[in-house]
Amino acid sequence: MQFYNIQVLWSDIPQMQTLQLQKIQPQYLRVLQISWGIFFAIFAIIAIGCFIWIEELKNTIVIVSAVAAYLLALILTFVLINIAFKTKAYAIREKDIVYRTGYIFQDIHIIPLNRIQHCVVQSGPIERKYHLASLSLYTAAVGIHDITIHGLLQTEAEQLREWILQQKQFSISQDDGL
Amino acid sequence: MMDFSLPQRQSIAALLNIIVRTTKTTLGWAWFIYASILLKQNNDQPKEGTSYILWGTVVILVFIIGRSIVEWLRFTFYIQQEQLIVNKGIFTKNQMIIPIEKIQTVHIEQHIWHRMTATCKLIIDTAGTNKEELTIHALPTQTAAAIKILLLQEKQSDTHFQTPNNQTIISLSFTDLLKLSFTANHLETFVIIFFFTIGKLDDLGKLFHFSSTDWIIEKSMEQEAINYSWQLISTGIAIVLLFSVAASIIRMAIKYYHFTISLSAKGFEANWGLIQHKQEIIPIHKIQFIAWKSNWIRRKIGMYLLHLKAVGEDELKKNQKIQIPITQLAQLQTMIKHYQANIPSQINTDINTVHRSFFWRMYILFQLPFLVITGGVLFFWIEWKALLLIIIAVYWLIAGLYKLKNFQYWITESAVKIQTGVWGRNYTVLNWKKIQLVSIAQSLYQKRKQLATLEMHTASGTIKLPYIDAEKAYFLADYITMQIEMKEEVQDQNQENNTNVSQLIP
Repeated sequence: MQFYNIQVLWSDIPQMQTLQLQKIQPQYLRVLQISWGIFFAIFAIIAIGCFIWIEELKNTIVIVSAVAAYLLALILTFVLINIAFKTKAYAIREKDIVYRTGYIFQDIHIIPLNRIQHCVVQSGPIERKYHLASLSLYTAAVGIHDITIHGLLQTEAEQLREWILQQKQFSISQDDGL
Repeated sequence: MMDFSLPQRQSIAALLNIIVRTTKTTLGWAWFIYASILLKQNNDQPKEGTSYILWGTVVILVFIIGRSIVEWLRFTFYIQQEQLIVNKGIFTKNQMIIPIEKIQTVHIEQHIWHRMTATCKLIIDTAGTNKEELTIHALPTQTAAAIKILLLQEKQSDTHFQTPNNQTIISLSFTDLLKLSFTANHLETFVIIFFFTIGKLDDLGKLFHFSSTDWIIEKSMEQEAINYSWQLISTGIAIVLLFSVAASIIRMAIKYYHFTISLSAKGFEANWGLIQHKQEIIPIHKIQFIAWKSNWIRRKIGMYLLHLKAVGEDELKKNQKIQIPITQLAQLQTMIKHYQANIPSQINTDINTVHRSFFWRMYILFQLPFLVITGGVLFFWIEWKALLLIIIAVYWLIAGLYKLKNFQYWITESAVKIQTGVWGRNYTVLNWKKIQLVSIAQSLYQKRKQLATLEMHTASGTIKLPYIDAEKAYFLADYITMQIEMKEEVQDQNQENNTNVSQLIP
């Protein structure tokens, strides 16, 4: 019987920390700003309607506090969007995809290609205007069904999807851990 | 040999089951109407109310029987081209197609009425939904067994271990059953019974314009009656407590009656239950991780409840999940070795712990402010008695420190073992190969302190190592990813390896 006891050196293990992560497309910041802008605009219209129609709200203190809270939320959201955008980055390796997202609570996900069940390219109307798309990677994991990489060029996203499917089909182990 | 390529119907006994189910659902709303008619009926003309009830009953009975027959006739199933095809529906025809390869588990349940009619219930589960995919309520026992074998045949073919037929691993003796029943969580049963009783009393109270919860609040608010009401409440609680101890003992005894676990080529085969006899097969390759736990008393007598977390397990109802009682440590090792050759803590004694801020941040940022605010609010109501909350603060402090001390983990080349718990203990063993993806989560505070939370996502849930050194988290993430991505043959070679991975961590 052959017995293997190969030593695994720390330096032999591919290290994620040394990876050069690729930033997502800068136009995606514009997409985020427009989406949140629309949300705040709709919110403002509803709030103005409430202030016009509800008598109890026609009070200077209430109006001033509401406007202050609204402006604070608006500024905070836009500041955080800008900061969080800078942390969104990804890396494609031979056997997995690494995606970093979030600023206050940062998450780095490593998705091995042999665990991907299927992947979907999707784009909303604002993303389409900037020729952008998102790529959702689905695994069998419970609780975190998909990891979505936002802010890819439409063509890039489609190429990446095809590449993942190809890799799954030909080059890597078919074991999906199930 | 049964031919399942032709449409099959449920046993005629299923019709009885459908009638009972439909009656139960119908009476769910009808009893309220009946009760209202009876209470409101005119004393001068009592016959009027009675005749309404009589006619109503006839209409309901006709509806129940008619609906049940149509449901029974419309429900057919067959197997074609490796697919289980089910036709059902009362008013609209509904066809369900389940690819056999997607079927994760097939359960067989047998209630008393099933045994009387020589039938059983067949529950089929896939990984894609939040509830069981299909339930066939009554099939002749032999037919159900044949379908189960047929549906799981595909699954068995890839099981790569050979074992003798049905080797019994665990068989619960009468003494074990008694130990298990007496050490059950009686407090949990008490809380369930208490709130269930209050809820039911309130439901009944609606008819008589009486609310039990209001009554308890009112009585406790009345200063003159306070002693009387507290005496009554404490007596009531004592009775319910005694009753719940008895109830939980009976519940456990019924649930675990004649519990056996055996090992066959199909996987672990479990049989249990007195009133409702259940049988389940868990293919070993479907197990994602193994967890076992014990409360304080059970830990003292060396008793644990083992949970085999298989694919799709999270989607099962609570009463369908098996918790395997372990009375000897040897049984635990026999069960685990088929999933993971060695328990990490046995071959690597290096204990890893989590950072102290795992507890302190929670305590200082959330628990203490919560108690201060609650105390502040309560002060206006019960004045200085609000200071009693200090007892809770002290308890949370002691419990939290124990929780921190007990959070330990052991790492080897092929798996991780995690221990958690305050007074009791919870253990988890996870083989790296079963992980679907790995995440590293870091808050701003964690970043500043060079800490991170490692999240290991499996097809049966997520296991976390919170507040560990960031460098260790990155190393483990890299190492796990390498294990997942390594080709099978390399993995098999390394299975024999017992390298202490902790020593590799820079």
